Amino acid sequence: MKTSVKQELTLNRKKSVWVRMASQWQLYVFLLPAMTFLAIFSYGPMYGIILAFKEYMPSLGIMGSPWVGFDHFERFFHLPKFWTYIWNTVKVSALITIIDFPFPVILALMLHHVNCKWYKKLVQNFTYLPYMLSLVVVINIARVFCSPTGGVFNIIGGWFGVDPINFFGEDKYVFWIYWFTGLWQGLGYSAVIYLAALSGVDQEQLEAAKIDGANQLRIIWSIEIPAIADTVIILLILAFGRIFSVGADKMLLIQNSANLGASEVLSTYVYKVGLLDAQFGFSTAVNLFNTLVNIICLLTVNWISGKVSETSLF
Amino acid sequence: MKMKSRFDRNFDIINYTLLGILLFIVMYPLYFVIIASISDPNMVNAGKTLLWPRGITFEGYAKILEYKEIMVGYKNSIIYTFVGTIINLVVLIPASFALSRKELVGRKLFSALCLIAMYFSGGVVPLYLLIKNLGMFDTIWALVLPGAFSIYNMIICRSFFVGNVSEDLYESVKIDGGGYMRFFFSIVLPLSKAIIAVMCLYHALGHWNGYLSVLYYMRDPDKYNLQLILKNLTESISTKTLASEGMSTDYLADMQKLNEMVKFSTILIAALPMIILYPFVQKYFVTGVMIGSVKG
Repeated sequence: MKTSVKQELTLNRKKSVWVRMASQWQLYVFLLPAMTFLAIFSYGPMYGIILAFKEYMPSLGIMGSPWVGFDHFERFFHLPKFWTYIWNTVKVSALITIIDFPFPVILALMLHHVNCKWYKKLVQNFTYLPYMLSLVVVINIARVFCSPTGGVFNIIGGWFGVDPINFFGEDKYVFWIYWFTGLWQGLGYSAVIYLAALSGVDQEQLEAAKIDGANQLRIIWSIEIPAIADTVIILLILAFGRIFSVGADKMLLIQNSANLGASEVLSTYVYKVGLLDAQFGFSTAVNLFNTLVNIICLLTVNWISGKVSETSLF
Repeated sequence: MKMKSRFDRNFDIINYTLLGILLFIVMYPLYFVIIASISDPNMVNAGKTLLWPRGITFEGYAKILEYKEIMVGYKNSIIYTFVGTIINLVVLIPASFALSRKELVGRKLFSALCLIAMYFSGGVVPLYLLIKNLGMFDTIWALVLPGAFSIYNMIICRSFFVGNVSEDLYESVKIDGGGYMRFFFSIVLPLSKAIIAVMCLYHALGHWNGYLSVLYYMRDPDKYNLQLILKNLTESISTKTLASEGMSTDYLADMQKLNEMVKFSTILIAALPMIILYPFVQKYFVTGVMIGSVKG
C-alpha cells in the first residue's frame, strides 16, 4: 500500500516534468537562439582544443593531423622567453590591479564630500567620459602625448633640460603607458560603483558622528571606509581572478618591434604564432595553457572569497 | 544649521582643488588633441600649443577627408554596430528572461552551460578555423555572430528581471489565459526599458570601439572598420616617415608636416561620435553599473 502510493508519486512527478516542460515551450523558444549560438561558437571550437596535441596539417584537417602529445607544451615551456611572457602578462594585470584599486575609492570619497551639486556633476561626468573612447583612440592620444617631437611630456621635460624620450620605443615605458592609459580611461567609471555604495551609508550614524563633532576626515575614516570595505574587497578579489587574462587588443596597439621585450604578453603571442605564423597547434597549446591558468586563478579566488565574505561567483 | 569647523572648511578647499586638478588631468589630453589638430604642426612640434591653438589651419581635416578609407571605415563601423547590436539584443533579452524564471525546467543546466562557456573557451585558433570553415571570412557574420550571446550581460539582465518583474504580474496574465509570450511582450518588455537601453549602449559601444575581430577575420581592406583603419593609419604613417629616405628634404618636410597634422585629426574623427553621444547616454552608464552591482 505504502509503496504504491510512493510509486504513484514518483510517476506523477516524472510525468509532471514533461508536462511542465511542455507547458514552458515558449520559454524554450526564448532560449533557443542563445543556446544555438552558445553551442556553435562557444562549445563548437572546444573540440579544436585537441589541436594543442597535434601537428596541424591543412590538407588533413583537425581530425586527420598526426598526434604529437605534449610536444607543443614542452616547446613553449622551454622557450628562452617563456618567463618574460609570463612576467609581462602578470605585470600589466596583477601589479596594475594592486596599484589601481585605491584610486577610484579615493575619487568616490572625494566626490561624496562635495556639497556643491553642479561641481560634483561636472567632475563626475567628465572623469568618466574617457570610458566611452576606444582603445585605438586612447593609445593614439598617448602616442601623441609621448611623441619625441612635440609630445607634451617631452616639451615639459625639455624645460628642465631632459633629452627627448621615445616612450613607445623602449621596454621600460610599456608598463607605464599601459597603466596610465588604463587609469585615465577607467578611473571615473570605476568610482561610480563606490559612489553607489557610499550612498547607502547609515544616515543616523552619520548624524550622530556630526553631533559629536567629528570632522570630515574622521567620518571618512571611521564610517565611510568601513561601509564600503566589503565592496572594495569583493571587487579586488574578483579582479584577481582575471590576473592572467590580459586581452590582446590594448597591447597590440602599444606594441612595436622596439618594445617587444616588455609588450609581448600571452595573448599577443597566441595571436602572433597562431594567426600570423599559422602554427595552429602550438598557438592552441599556449592558449590552452593560458585558459587553464585563468581557471585555476578564478577557482582559487572564488574559494578564498567564499571564505572571506561569503560572496562567491558561483 | 551649525557652522562648519575650520578643519572642515580647509578640507573642502583642498578637496575641491584636488578634484579641479583631476578634472584638468583627465580633460587636458582631449583638449590638447583638439587644439593641436587645428594648429600649425611646426608650432605643435615647438611646444607652443600647450594652452591654445597657434597658426590655425584645417588642413589636417581636409587631408583626412581625402582618405577614401576613412569614409569606408565609417560606413562599415555604422553597419557592424547597428546589425551587431540588434542581433545581440534579440538573442540576449528573451534568453535572460527565460533564465530568470525559477520554474524553468533545466534552468540549472542552462546556467551551468553559460558559466562554463564564460570561463572556458576553445581559444583563438579553434574559433578562427571554425569561422573559416563556415565561410564567414570577410563577411559581417564573423564579427557579429560569435559574440551574439554575451553571457556576462545575460547575468546582469537576468538579475534585473528577477528583481523587477513581480510574480503577481505573471499570475494575472495566466488567469487571463496568456502564456509567457504574451507576458514577455506586453508586460516585461515595457517594464524593461532601462535595462534594454543599457544593454543597447554596452553592445553598441563594444561593436563601435572594437577592432580585434576585424583584424582576425577580415582580409579585404574594404571591410575594415574605422578603428582598424586608424590603427593601420598610425602605423603606416610612422613607418612611411622612416622609410622615405632618399627623397628631397623639402618633400620629406612636407610629408612630415602633413603626417603631424593628420595624427591629431584622426584621433578626433574617431572619438567624435562617442563624445557627441556621451551627454545623452551617460545616465545609462550609471544605471548599468547599479544593476550590475546588485547581482549576487
